[in-house]
Amino acid sequence: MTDSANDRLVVRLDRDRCSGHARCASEEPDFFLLDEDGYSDLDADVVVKPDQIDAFRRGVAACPEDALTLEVAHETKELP
Amino acid sequence: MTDPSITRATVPGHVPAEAVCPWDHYEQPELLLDPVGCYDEVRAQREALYSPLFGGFWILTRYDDQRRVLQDPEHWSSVNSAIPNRGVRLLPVNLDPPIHTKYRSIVNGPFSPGSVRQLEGRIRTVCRELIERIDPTREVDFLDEFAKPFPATVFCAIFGLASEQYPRFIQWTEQVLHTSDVLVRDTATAELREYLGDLIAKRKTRPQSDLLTDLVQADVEGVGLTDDELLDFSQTIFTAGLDTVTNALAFMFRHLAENPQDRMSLLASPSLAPSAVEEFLRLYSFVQLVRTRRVDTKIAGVEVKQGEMVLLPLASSGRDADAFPGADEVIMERHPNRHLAFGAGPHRCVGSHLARLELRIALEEWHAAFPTYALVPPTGPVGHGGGVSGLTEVRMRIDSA
Repeated sequence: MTDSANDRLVVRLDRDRCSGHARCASEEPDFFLLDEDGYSDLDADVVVKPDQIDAFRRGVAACPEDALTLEVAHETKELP
Repeated sequence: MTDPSITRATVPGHVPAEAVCPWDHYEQPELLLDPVGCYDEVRAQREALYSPLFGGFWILTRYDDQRRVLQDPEHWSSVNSAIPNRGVRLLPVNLDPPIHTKYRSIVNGPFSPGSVRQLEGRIRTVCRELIERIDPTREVDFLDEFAKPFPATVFCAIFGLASEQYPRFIQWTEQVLHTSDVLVRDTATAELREYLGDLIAKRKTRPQSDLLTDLVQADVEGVGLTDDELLDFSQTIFTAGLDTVTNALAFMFRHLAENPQDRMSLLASPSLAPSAVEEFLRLYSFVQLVRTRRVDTKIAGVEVKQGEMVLLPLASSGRDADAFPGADEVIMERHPNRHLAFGAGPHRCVGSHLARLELRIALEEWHAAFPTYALVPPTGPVGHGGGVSGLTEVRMRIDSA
């Protein structure tokens, strides 16, 4: 059984696709960090808080490579 | 008139007759009239064309297909980056991953958004000094007085060149990039390489604080670059650094000179400058990239065989209505704006962040000095083609606009 209340919105980075356009950071510099070469340095599976959804959506949508995706991570939990 | 020396290949059997179109991406008359808009009609007719000129090559017109090619270096090689093929190798342009990644990483740091941001003050000073020299009471040659010297002066400082010699550098770059006359191109290439070779030798004995010294001191897995590699690398940075922002400035300011409503919007909301820059890059994506197919495939409804080359006129993808709603309108607040003006995939233009900064500063400083200006209509076609297409004339009236 899944419990949708435990579904989380996460941002995923495909490092092989990122080619350093830095459009994400240009849109939302507080949320999309870059490494010293200018490539995305997003931690694995960043969990998006409800008040950050719009900012993350903008940053993800800006990527010309589709290196970033916003996904719902289903968390399965046993019900008692 | 197409140069009679251009070789015309026999069209291979797998090419559908309706796809054949002798398109000359240097001198096509439609391109000379409008180097970016000329692809609108081409794209409306076909996703893929085959030009029998220069030994034969495909042209892909749609955003999705161009991006697919650029993102797939395993199947689309960069071993040739020009049609007709250059006699010299460009680094890291003509490498494919995984070796490309190692050479490319040498220049990622110096051109990263963080490194480029440090240069903003110096770039703004260069921009202001050039603008102060412009006499607004007479007709302004926008290219010679601003669009060429501004990025060239910035580039010379970064790369380690004497900026007062920039007209000679620009001439070499234009001869290397804009012409299908192989003799002119190869002569300029040889002169440029001799000049760069001399500078490289000087940096080896007397290091400076510049990109040329960074290259001389760089290594790939602990091994320094050979003299040939240093030439191949510095030639790439040189030609790419001197020509491209000039063309972006020419297209952007010509548009604003001809479209007062867009200029007024920008003057009313200067904070639009960064997204306006992206929109002008989209609408005027003037670079034409080349890839070579490694194995037979189908794309855009045609068969492309191993060893065949494709030309990707990025102007065509930027104006593809399937990728951009209202593709032929200027929407300065457009979001998202996932244009391919700087390419895509591992060869994405390393200078893109510097270019964006220069374009934004140019908009801000030019409009602070000259809010009103109008284009002096050219008397004939002013476009040019090649790997980097552009405009050969942008003249303005400022005071009487």
